[in-house]
Amino acid sequence: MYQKISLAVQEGEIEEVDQLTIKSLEKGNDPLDVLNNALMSGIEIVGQKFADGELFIPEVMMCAQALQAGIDRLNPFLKQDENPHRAKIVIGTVANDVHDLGKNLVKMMLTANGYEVIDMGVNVSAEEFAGAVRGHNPDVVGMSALITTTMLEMSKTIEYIKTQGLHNGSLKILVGGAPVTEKFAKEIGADLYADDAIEAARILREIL
Amino acid sequence: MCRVLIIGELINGSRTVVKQAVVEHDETVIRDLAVQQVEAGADYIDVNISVGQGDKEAEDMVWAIKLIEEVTTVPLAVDSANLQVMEAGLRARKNTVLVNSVSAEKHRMEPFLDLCAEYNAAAAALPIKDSGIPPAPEERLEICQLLAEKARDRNIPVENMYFDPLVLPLGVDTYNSYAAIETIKKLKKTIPGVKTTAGISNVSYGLPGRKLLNQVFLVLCMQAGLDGAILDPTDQGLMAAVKTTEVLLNKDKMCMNYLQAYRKGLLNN
Repeated sequence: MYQKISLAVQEGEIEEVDQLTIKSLEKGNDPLDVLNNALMSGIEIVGQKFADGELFIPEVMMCAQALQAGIDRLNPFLKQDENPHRAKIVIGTVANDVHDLGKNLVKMMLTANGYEVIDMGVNVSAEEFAGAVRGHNPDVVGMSALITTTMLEMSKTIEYIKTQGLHNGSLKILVGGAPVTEKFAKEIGADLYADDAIEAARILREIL
Repeated sequence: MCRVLIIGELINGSRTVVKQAVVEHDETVIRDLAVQQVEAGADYIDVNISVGQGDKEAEDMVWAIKLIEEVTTVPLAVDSANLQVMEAGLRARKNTVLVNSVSAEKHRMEPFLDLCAEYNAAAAALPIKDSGIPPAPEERLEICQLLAEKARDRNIPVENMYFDPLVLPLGVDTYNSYAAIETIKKLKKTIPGVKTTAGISNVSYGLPGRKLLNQVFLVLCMQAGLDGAILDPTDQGLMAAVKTTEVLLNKDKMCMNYLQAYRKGLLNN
């Protein structure tokens, strides 16, 4: 049964994942067990196949939707402390920058790796990022910039999050985007840097 | 009857080879890329030197432009989102020039159009506003109309404005290529005398078989009325598609360019 669900996730069969998840619950399987050993094990293979160049973006998007269908089914049956997601990530493109392709790919990869992603969209101001951190209490806040001029907005946003006292405890700041380098990420005080969407998922899996 | 204007995209700081050349001030790489593109048929050379070294960008732009102008008199497309970098480039160049690019974002629209007027430059104009890129062709057209109006206010001739429909990857949403083609059609129908241009290779990002996707997409855009294309002119298959489509759309009287390309062996691809 778990194998069937896992395969349906890997094939992006939304309806099938939904139906199989229902059946699995009816059979009395533990929801958390279904989550980890069926849905998540399926999506992990998807993430790996994408990283290997075997699957392409539209296919991964379908698989992520299939995973979500299963999670939505399980959610009402999970106990309060059994979060179906690995961790919570707030993500957005910084102020004055409207490029969202890279950010959306990161969102896709993180979703496909079982993270809950709260997408703030594009042109997100420092205040809006700080507000989202306050409101959602995420494990990671991720910022994207695609123009060299808006890289500086990243620096401003990190500065603002810090002066608001929000960069304490476990919150990690992740940055990325075509012109962003690891060196620059360090200089502006980010905790994490990822070169692309696959890398972002890999780095987060190491810590969360 | 006009040919499609080819804007060579290879001098771009997001490419590793260019990034390295800019950081290390490797003159040969920049000169060679300019020559290669001109020989392959580029009508404009795009110059993007953004590699993330903020305060040096204006200097790098002037450096690159000087090198390119040593080897060619082909017009330049100065490519930067930074006003100071753009102005430095416009001031430094001798060749004919196009501003790449203007958008309807608040911090960008008026100052960039002012520069176009001041330096008598053509412009690539993008339907982007502060809230992002609207998906619907109608909304993109509206933003272009606003940009056209602001250009008119500054006496910038409409034929100097190259509107870009914005090409987003097909792999992320199959609506994206359709939206670009529809926007081109609407632009040509609604704004008399307007020109259009598009970045072709974005369409195939993340998908296999990119060359064929780029070629067919380019053909569809040309049929919709595309006047200029930002692409890799050294991609022989893509350039063959341009020439073949031009002759089929009656933009190549007596098949002269087509036959010339044939004799040069450029169509065997």
